[in-house]
Amino acid sequence: MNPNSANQIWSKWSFHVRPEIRVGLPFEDVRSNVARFFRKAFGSASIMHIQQEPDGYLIEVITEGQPVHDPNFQRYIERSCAIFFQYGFGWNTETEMTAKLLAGSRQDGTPADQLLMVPRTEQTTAVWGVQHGERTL
Amino acid sequence: MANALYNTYKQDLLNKVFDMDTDTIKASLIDSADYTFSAAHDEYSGGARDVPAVAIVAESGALTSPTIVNGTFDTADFTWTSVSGDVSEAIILWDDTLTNDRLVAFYDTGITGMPVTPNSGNINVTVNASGWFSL
Repeated sequence: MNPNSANQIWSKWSFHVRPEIRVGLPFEDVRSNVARFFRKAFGSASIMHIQQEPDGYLIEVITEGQPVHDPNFQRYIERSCAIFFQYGFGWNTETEMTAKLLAGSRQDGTPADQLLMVPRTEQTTAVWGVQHGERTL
Repeated sequence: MANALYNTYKQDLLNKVFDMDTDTIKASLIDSADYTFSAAHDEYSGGARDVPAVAIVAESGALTSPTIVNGTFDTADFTWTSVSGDVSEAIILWDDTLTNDRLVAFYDTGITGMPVTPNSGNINVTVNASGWFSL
């Protein structure tokens, strides 16, 4: 996959969700429901990461092909997500969304943004002496 | 070449020289035509620098939100702004707090989007959700 090829638009959408209901919700259930929702919202060409925070959840989605430069589309996604989270977590749930272009044209005549995604390097084998060297995930 | 920590970094990590969540850590975009990795390299700048200035295509500001959790070093994503220069193939992580800017890690493998051809626009970098590296 090359996110910097012509005509691709990659964007990152972050949602900070502060649920009204905070008890009795297994993290795995939340993760799978959120993943299902975002697959429908953004399509399968997406990477989702969710983590539990002291006051709720931080969800980040990197996706291809969405018109992130369009404020109307951003408002549509924000409204749809707020409703989804209210159904799941209660009507007083608060959702904050930020959207950022990662790669592609800003549609304003400036050069296109480009994207690099860095893998993690693990030193475990080197530390434990099983095999000298690093393993890239 | 595989992604790797510099041996001198490992050595001085054990000697309490590096403090990864309080030092200023930066990332540079590197043209591999002008820099060849060696695990023995230790200085990013200074008189005996190991990374030639010509190899450095872009430098970040201080990486924000550095954390160390269960042996994993992580930071927030970052952007090199308005980058122009040679086609680049690697990223170097370095410590701007220490004298002569000490080298930390070298990445040239498995980076989605590499090699990148600077076009005077921004280059956004997403750090792996599981951090830069784990010990």
